[in-house]
Formats: sequence, C-alpha cells, structure tokens
Amino acid sequence: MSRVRGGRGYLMIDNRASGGELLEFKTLTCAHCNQVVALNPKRQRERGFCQKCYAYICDSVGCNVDCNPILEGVDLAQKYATLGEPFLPRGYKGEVLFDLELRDKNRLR
Amino acid sequence: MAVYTHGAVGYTPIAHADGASALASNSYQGIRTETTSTLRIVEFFIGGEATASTVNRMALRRLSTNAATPTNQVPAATNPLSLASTSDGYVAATTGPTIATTQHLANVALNTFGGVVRWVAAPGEEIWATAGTAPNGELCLDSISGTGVVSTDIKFEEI
Repeated sequence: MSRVRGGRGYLMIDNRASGGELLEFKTLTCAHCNQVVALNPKRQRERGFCQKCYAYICDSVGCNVDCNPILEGVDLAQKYATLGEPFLPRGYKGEVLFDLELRDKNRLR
Repeated sequence: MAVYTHGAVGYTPIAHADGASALASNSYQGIRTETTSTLRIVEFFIGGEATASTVNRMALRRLSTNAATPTNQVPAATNPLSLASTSDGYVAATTGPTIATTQHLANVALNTFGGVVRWVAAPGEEIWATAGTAPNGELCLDSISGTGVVSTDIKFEEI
C-alpha cells in the first residue's frame, strides 16, 4: 500500500449523445493549490511531488517553490476567519495570496 | 463523515469570466459554508440538457465576494441517519456572488446536447471550503463560456 497521500480520482466526459466520444481520465488534486488535474496518460515527464507533505503537486510554479498545503490553508482560514485573507485560493501560477507571516506564526506554535 | 448532495436543475448558465460580479440568479450553482462548518467536495456532476449542439466550458471556482442574502437550499444527506448539514447550497441571492480572479479548481468542457461530466475525488483529493467568509468559504460551479442548459449536482462531505 502506498504511503503517498491520496489516490486517483475519476473524470468522465461523455459526449456520445451528440456524436462525440466517451473520455475517461484519472485525476489528481494538487496538495498545494487544490486544483484538479486530469492525467494525460501519454505524459513522459515526471509529475510534481512534494517531499514535505508527501503528496502530488501540479505543474504550477507557485506549487513547486514552497510547501503550502491546502490543509494548512484550511487550518489558517478557520483560525483567522475574520481577517478575510485568501488562505485557500491561489493565483493563476499557483502562488500563495495570503500573508505568509500568519502561516509562519502558526507553524512556530 | 456525513455526505450531502445539492443539485441545481435545468438552468441556463451565463458565461462568467473571472471577476464577474453580482451573478444573476439561476445561472450558477453555489455551495456555502458557515463560520462553524468545513466541507470538502467529493463529487460533481454536470448533465447537458440543451436541445441543440452547444459547447459549455464549466468551471468550479472560488468567490471573492460571497452572495448577499442567498436563498439557502438545504442539501440532502445521502444517509438518512446523518444530521442536517450546516453548509448550504444556493442558486439565487439578493445580490449574486463575485467570482475570484484566482486559479480555477476544475475546468471541464462538454457538449450540453446530452453530454455528461462526472468527477469523483479519490480519498484525500477533495476540494475544500471553510469558515464562511470570502474567499475561503464558498464555491461556485458555472460556465466560463457557452450557455447550454445544464443540471449540476455537487456532493460534499462536511467535517
């Protein structure tokens, strides 16, 4: 049994009724930005992986430069709910949008 | 954990770009947490109902401003023994929500002339929302382009 967090999700797009085709993909969800990624079975390059949270991460730059797990964002969003900080959303490049001092303060506790 | 399902039936989406504000009622499906609730989406389903070939690009996105006075619809528990959910679904509000200009959580395209999309998360791979306040507390499933009639359904687990 794999120790890597998460497994494979499933995405089905069925356009047969309109003359298209049935597409089925395995999916992964980025452990950092929470984005769902449909896996290309023909991909040759290695997929991203975070050694800190030991989970799959997507190709976004922001997800690959630092470890900011979405679950930590959930924790921060609950703790600092009144601040209105964007703990869960990420920028288009996967970059964190909230004040990292809050994260660091939380990690040091 | 209890799983709940909320459906938005037979609505005509409006093509909403990121940052679109005050979304018109019945053009989207919204899911909202309360300050005391956290949810994670485990599945979404989109069924096309258009009467002619119409391609929709649908997206699950976060909101930068929550809907004002949404008309809450109580999600149905998939297990009759579950407590009522704290989180709600909605498709209408006094002032509709504003879509965040941030990364999309999922993008799918389908021909709404009978097309079907279903996404199911693996355990540990769910999409999170929490604590009620924007931009962390609500999610929106709607169209980026295309206005073919769809019905959508979101299943979530409340933590």
